Amino acid sequence: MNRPRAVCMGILVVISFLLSGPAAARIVVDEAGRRVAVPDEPQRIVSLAPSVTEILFALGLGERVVGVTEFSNHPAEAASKPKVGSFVRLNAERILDLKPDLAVGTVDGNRLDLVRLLEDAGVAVYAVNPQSVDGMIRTVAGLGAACGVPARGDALSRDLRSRLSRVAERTRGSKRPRVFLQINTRPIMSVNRNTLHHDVIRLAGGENLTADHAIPYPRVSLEEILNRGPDVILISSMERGGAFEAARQAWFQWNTIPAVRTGRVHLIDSDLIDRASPRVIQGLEAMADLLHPRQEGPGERLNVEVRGDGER
Amino acid sequence: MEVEEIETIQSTEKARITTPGRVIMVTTGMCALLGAVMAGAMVMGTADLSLADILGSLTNHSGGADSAGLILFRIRLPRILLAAVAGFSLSLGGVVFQAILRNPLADPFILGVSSGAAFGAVIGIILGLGFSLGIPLAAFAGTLLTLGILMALGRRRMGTESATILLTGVIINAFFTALIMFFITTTTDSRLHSMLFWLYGDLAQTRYAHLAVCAPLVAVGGAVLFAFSRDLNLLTAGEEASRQLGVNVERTKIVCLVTVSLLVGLVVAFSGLIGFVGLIVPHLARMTFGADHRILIPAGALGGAVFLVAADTLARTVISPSELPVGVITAFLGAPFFLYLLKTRGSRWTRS
Amino acid sequence: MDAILTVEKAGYRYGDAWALKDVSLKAFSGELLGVLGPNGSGKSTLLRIMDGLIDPDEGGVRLYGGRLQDLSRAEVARTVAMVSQENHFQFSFSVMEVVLMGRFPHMRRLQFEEERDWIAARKALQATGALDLADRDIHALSGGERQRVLIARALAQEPEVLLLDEPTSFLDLRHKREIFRLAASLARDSGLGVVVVSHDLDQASQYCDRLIVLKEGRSVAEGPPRDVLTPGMIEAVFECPVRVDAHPDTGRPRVTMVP
Repeated sequence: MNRPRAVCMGILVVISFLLSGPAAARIVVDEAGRRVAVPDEPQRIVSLAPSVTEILFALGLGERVVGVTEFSNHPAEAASKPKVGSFVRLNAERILDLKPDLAVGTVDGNRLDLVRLLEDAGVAVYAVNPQSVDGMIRTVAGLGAACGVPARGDALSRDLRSRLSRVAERTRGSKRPRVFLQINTRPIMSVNRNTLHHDVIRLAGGENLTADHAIPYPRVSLEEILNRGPDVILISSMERGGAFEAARQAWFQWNTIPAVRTGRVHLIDSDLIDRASPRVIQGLEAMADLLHPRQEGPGERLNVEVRGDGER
Repeated sequence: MEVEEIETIQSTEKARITTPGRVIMVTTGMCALLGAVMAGAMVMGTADLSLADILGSLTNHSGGADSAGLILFRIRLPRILLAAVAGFSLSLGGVVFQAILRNPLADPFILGVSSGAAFGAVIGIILGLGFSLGIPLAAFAGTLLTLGILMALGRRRMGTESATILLTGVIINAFFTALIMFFITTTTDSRLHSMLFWLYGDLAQTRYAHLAVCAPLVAVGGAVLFAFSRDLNLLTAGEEASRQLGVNVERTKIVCLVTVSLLVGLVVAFSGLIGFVGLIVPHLARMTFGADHRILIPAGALGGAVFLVAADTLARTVISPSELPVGVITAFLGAPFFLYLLKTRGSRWTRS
Repeated sequence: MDAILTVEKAGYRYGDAWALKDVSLKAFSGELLGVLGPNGSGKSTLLRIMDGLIDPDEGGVRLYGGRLQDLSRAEVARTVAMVSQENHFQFSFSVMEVVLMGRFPHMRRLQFEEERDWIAARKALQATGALDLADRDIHALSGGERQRVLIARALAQEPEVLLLDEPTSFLDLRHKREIFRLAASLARDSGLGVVVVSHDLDQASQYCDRLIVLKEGRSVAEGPPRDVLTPGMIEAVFECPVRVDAHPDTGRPRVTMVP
């Protein structure tokens, strides 16, 4: 090769290197059906939802996460990561400031214009859309593959599925108790069939009392609850504060409800059933224990409270 | 002039005259209407209670808990009663404010006292106070705070210009609304729901204890305001004229303003903000019964009770089994009606 | 004859400016007194002082022998009635209801109207020729009718002094004449002391028994129209050139503007 040609080639190589971006990439299809060019091994990942944060950490990608949303409180390491705003109000500047190579968000929550903004700035945006427990497990596998750790994704999803089938085994054949899941105290609100919570109840071997309401998170009257008479009442609490304990106590005056008569009114950590993350399996297991208790001790049930860190 | 002649005069003059008889008749009639609506509301709801269920629980005094009885007397009845008391109070407030502010667009929330109550409730929700005692107290504290501000800023000019006090109210409203918006945007989920539902009115989970506090005070307040009926009549006919005739304009305005604010603040503390009742029902009552406050006050107040019981019943049943906040229903009923009023009556808020 | 209402050297000040200074007059029973003057001369202020709505900064007002200030508002309202210029009814009332409002000073709180109230209201309507308007809506009246109703309301107070603040300002010719005739007859036939504030020099001249002219808060002339309405006085006070001659029918001064 003579000199000028070599120089030309060299310049071409440099130019093509500069134009091709920081690392080699693949085209994947995300859960919104979009074709996204993700880096082979994304090193700087921003999570745009607390559930996504949990999945990323569960996949062992914690160190590569450079930004999370405000309420990404689990695991503990996530809480110390830089914040990029809250789930409903993301701060685009902050995100771009962190120079991520991949951002992972949810179809439901994150706004399209933000996604476009990030993509225009050269950040690959991968959207997940877990609508059910099964959907969450598939998301785990899919996200693992997208982030270059398919083996871990597969392993984790297999593990989650086996836990799921163990619960199914345990509850198979038992009568499904009618469950009222209270997600808000005042006003009283519950969930209909188009929610993750409903799926959790179902898989835990229960029957959602308010499945037939028209809106996903309807306001429910006490009348209806009295009339339908659930066997178990679960109160989803966001904290251990006195308010939710008081809400539990408040149920005891309605003693025509089977759940109240048998003392089956329990608190359950909302983080375990609100979020489409691997911890939902933990919530599911805990709920299954509540709905189909192993032991039959009389005084035990009244004070059972399931907390997010696994304690009872 | 002979007594005979007077009677002839009275009967031949077609003018509507207020007599004690007429006041009693209208009041009794409205009470009967209220009773009927309340009875209807008792039998309507998510739980389909048959007549047999109702009779059964009415006669079941053995003390054993029965679902229908609980539904009727622990859930529906207190709620219906609070709807009546709240509607009474709000409409009464609207009637009186429209008179003392000489403004047909006035409602009991116009002076901002309610936004103070809302602010108190929002703070209470954030602090995690209980809904049976803490939140109502916080809301009422908010009422007192804004009433204090209103008195301090507007009192001196109260006797002369309604415009000044209205403006003060607008500013207070804007200020507290901004504060409330701030808290709403920075709050997490469950408390947000509580706030939003409170801001649109929430009569669910009413307890008899609340009613025991509200009802007597509302009755007393109503009596006080009724005593000012003729003063209010004269006020609407012109401040200078009423002063000449002997109305103590300043005192009347202040007493009425404070009484209405306290009444409304009390009710709002338990029920949340329910709009349109205090705006629409006074006009409806005035169109039906005339502008004499001796009839308008009882008719309007009782009319408000009827309206709110009906609206709350709709809120509980229209998308059954889910519930809507009652403020949504009153707005849906109120707004189109208000537009209709504007269209047919233009700027004359008068009985034809 | 004793005056019913006596104003003694009254003065009233808005801030530093004196709206009224050193004004005295007497209102007698059976007499129509006209108060004239250009805008800002203190006419309305004078009327308000006579009604006890505002307290003079200097001097005082006597109702018969006693000081007006010592009386309660209701007591004053039972003796002195005023029809002001501003009369906006926010909501609809019937004419009868409006006239019955005049009974307020005679009634206690929570009391309903009684026979004597009906009688007073009816007499008032009769005196103003408005009896047939009794069931009409106050908003559905013509200017002249409305003014008569307002005067009826004042008469329902059963006063001894009637103060009218520019009652004909917004009325057409026919109604101006009507109101002045009414005022004059009330004075003459019912024995009231009627005081009328007016811009209308001509009408005042034809109907009033006495006139008082104010300029910049001070009284500059007082007496029967014949003595008061001279071209010199009018030009000095109203700053407008006029001719004054005798009205062919009444002999009273007839004031004509020089264009």
